[in-house]
Amino acid sequence: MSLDYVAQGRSTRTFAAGHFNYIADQLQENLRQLNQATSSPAAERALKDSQHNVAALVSELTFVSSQTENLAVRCAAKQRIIAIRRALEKTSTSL
Amino acid sequence: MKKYLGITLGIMTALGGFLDLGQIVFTAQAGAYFGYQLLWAIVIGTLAIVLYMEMCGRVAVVACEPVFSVVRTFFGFRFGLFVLVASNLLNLITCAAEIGGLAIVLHLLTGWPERVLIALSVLILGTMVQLLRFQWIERTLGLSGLLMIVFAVSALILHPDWSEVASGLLPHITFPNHKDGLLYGYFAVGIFSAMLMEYEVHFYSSGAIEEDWTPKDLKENFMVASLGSILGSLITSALMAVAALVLLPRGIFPELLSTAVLAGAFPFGRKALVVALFGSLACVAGAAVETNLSSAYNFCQFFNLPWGKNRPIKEVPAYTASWIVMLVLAGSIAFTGIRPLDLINVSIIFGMVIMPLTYYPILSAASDRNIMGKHVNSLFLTIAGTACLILVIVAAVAAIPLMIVTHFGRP
Repeated sequence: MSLDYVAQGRSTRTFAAGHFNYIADQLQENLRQLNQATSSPAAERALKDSQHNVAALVSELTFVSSQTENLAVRCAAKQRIIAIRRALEKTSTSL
Repeated sequence: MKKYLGITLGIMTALGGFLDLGQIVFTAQAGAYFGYQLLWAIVIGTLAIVLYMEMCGRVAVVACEPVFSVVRTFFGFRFGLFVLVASNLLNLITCAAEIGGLAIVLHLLTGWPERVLIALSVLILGTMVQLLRFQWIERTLGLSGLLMIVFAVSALILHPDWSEVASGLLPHITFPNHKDGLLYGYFAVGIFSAMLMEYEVHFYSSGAIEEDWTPKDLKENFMVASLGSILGSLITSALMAVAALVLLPRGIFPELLSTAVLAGAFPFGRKALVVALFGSLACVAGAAVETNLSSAYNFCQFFNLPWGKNRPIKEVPAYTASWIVMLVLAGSIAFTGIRPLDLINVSIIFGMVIMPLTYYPILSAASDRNIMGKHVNSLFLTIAGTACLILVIVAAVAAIPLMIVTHFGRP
């Protein structure tokens, strides 16, 4: 939602950068909790995938927060974020 | 003129206090997870705050007794002191959260570093409280808070399903799973508590004395308490509706202030986003000032020390020192980097827990003919006030267990 809102030019640059940074911070906190989590051997793979995907999402959002004005970068980041989100959803349903 | 000033006081209390950081995020979270299903909690919260605010204003005007003067008389010094400490601790946490929220909104507007903005916010708020008269503080922040109407306009433009809205006015009893039931209870208590945050009522009753209201102004007191709160609750309902319409279908649970603000401006463009940000800024700043001054009022009223925003500093040294110390402490807490929303979660729940300790003395004083004379509560008001007190006690008892089992309302 946020990426589309920014893509349509409806946000200010400072809001977009700040908002993406806040989301990245929140995800960083979630990642910290995930890294402390323990799992059964059966779910070990899913936990590792989740940690990897959340870390990737954090770096994408951190990157996009500094590139809110660059349309090409934003579109590419959006595609990668969608792919990460799908992977996270897949992992979530497999648990 | 005085009448209009009184109404402004109500608007500020409604928007600057009624709508604060907690209210904005908590209501948005409830809407994003449960849609309109918790609208009834806003309605009950509105009735309770109207009753409480009107009684506090009436007791202040008729008996010249502000809230903490009544608390001390009712509970005695020792237990009264406990209530004072709990209340001011709550104000401190809330004020710290509001200052943190202020820095977040300013960061979203300017892009400046948050810690710099926290220091700047404390400086600006302190200067404002020091230099402006009570009436100007309320006018500046209260009227700016009206920008939050953008949330109501957004809700209307997004065409809510009115039959669903109407069904949200009744509590739901069945849920697909046990966890959702607990979350529903947590958000119901949280919304009720956020609407009844006691600092806004303490500020209001002290304001009535600051503005020299007399028993002749009691009709105005009722009008201010009811209209101001209803306006605040309509915007709160709009916040919930916007979250239900924008966030719920996308599976977004707003854990950030920026997400709630974005949802409020979603149907529009850049200008509406800026308006929503400035509206949030005014509400959060208003709440920060109210919590800050409320602590100074509570302290001085309990110890019977001279107080008043409009009096020279030399006449009210304890009052002035109290709000300055409170502001610096709150700013220092915010400066540590603790998340404002974590603080607000704690303040909302603990606010409910200590609410009966100020609500009950005020209800008793307002129902006592020896204190209130001909302005004593009618039978209807006493029954309604008692019903609200029972709800407040039930919510107070349920608040902490619900907070624990739902991990502060995490879905």
